[in-house]
Amino acid sequence: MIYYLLRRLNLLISTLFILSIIAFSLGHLFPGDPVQNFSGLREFDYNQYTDLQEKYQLNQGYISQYFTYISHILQGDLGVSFNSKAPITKELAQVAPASLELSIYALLLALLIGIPLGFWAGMRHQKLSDYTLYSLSVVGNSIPIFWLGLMVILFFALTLNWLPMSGRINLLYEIPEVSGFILYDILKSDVSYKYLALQDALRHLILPTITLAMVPITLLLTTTRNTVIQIMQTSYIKAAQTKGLSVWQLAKRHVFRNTMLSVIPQIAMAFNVLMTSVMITEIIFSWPGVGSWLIEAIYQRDYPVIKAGLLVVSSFIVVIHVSIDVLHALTNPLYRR
Amino acid sequence: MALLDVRNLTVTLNDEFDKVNAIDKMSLTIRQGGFHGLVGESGSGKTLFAKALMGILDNRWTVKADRLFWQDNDLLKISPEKRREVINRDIAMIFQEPSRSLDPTAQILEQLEEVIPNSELGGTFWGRKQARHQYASNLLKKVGIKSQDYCLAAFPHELSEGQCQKVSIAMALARKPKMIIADEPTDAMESTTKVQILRLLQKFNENQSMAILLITHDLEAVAHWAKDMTILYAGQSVEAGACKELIHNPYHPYTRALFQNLSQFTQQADHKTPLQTLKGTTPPLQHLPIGCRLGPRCPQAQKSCVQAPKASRIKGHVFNCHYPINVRKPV
Repeated sequence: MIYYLLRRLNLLISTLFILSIIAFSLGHLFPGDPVQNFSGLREFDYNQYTDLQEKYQLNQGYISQYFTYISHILQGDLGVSFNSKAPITKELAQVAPASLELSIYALLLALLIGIPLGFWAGMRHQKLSDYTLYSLSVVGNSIPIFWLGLMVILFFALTLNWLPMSGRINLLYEIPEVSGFILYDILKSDVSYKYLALQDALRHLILPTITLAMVPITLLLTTTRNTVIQIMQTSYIKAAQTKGLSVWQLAKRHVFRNTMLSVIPQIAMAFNVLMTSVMITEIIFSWPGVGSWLIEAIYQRDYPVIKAGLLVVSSFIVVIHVSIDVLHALTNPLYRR
Repeated sequence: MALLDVRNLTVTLNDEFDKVNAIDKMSLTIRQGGFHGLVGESGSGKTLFAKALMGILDNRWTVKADRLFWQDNDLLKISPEKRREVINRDIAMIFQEPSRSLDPTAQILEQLEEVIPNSELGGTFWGRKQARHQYASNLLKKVGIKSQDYCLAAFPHELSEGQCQKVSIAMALARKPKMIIADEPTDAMESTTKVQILRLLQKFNENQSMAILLITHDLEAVAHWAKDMTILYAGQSVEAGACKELIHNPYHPYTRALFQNLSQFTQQADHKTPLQTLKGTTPPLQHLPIGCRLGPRCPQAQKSCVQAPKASRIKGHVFNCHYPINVRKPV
């Protein structure tokens, strides 16, 4: 077990190393002066230029440049943005919670809907409910997310006028920012319209969350269903059936645990898909998150932001992957020694 | 008294294009407290028979029978749920590849405990957990596992095949069934473990008059342990009766060929003497011959063998053959 954890840790560190090399080399590969790309400052006189060169050690060899770059990152210094001239770390602290909030709710929704429905479909294999759920999930999986997003806006926001179509909260409500997670901030604040604001924020959350959760739901539903069907064929389930257990007992005691062991690694895959779709969803719903921030940066050729965004988002995915792997190992008795 | 009486059981595989009778009108009778061997080559439908009886085949298969009596109750007349209940209560099954027939993610204790019926425990509600643990431990002791505490806390992958099979037997015993179906229980095991397992089964057969149906292709084991046996060939019953009768006085040409083969290993044979076998190979499921399925390979076959022979009985010795050997033809 210790050996396994060490191996995962090794994977984590080496992947992060490679990612940092890529981000570092972008500083040189992007057009423009590396001093601009690393610092994010564009207008300076000669003295400032040499100071910055000194700071990032750009007159030294690549290896010492790389280590200086890493030490700056570890101190939380990612340079400043070309456009806003604000430190990237500060901007990131503003947009990351919004994305994180959205993707956490979408992932939770996917887990709470996808896995139970998939389980049910698998247990009722080759019955009407299985066919219905499976075909619905195939349809859901093949709908492009940008189209789905526009359709729910068109239908629920414009035609029916039930839900707001964009943003995190109505501009009427002024919420002091503490953590950046809006629901948490509202609950922590002591404004008189607290519950109205909460209601409004929740209404803003519904459409993006559903849009974003669609693909992970279908992904988890399909894998859970297939795993259940596969497990129902194994000889230990056949053996358990001869013990005279009811279907419910069988599902609870034997099928569920074995299914989850195969589904947990799939959650990591679902998370990958989620991180890509969260950017698209943010653009569609004008959600002030990492996605719209990064895409805006790409439009504006804001190289320091692109570089930092790439590093942060991909490191985050790697960390989540490794932690899900470790979680899988901890729950699987075949790994526990 | 017959414990289990199955007459003309047919199991059909419903393919997309075709229907194949994987088991064709097979019959089997087991006496109360009997030790019955079910013998046949691989793919002759032994395991299929056991699974059909336990009702754990998936829906590609259909099972039909003319008669299915359990302790003089007609199981065909009651609903499938009720039948399943009776069968699960009174018949326990032990599978081949024991380590794969245990849930890999649950400890042995948990798997054993769920089989123990509340009626076996007695005592008060709160004393039950303790009693259950004790009962599980005793079961393991009964099947000859020495370190019970270690075994109870272990996962299946931490035990050897032999130990897993003993655990399976312990599970089978938990409900005190009237019959145990052992489906190749000693497949791929060392010969010492094999003897241990079979001796265990025999012990329960003798001491608690639990009927055993031993499904195997190991003729020697059946000849040594079982009292009666049924021989299957390509899904058809060939011959059934007491073991000694069948070995010394076979009526069916297939039975003779089987045991001739066996006796050769006890005698000194010359270098490179060919073993005596029937010509040809067992037919695949897609190309079964009509009538008696042994037909094309049978040394005695004649024209009438294209009709499947009916079962004939001479003094409790049943055979399905138009031209039996060792028997004076009843005119």
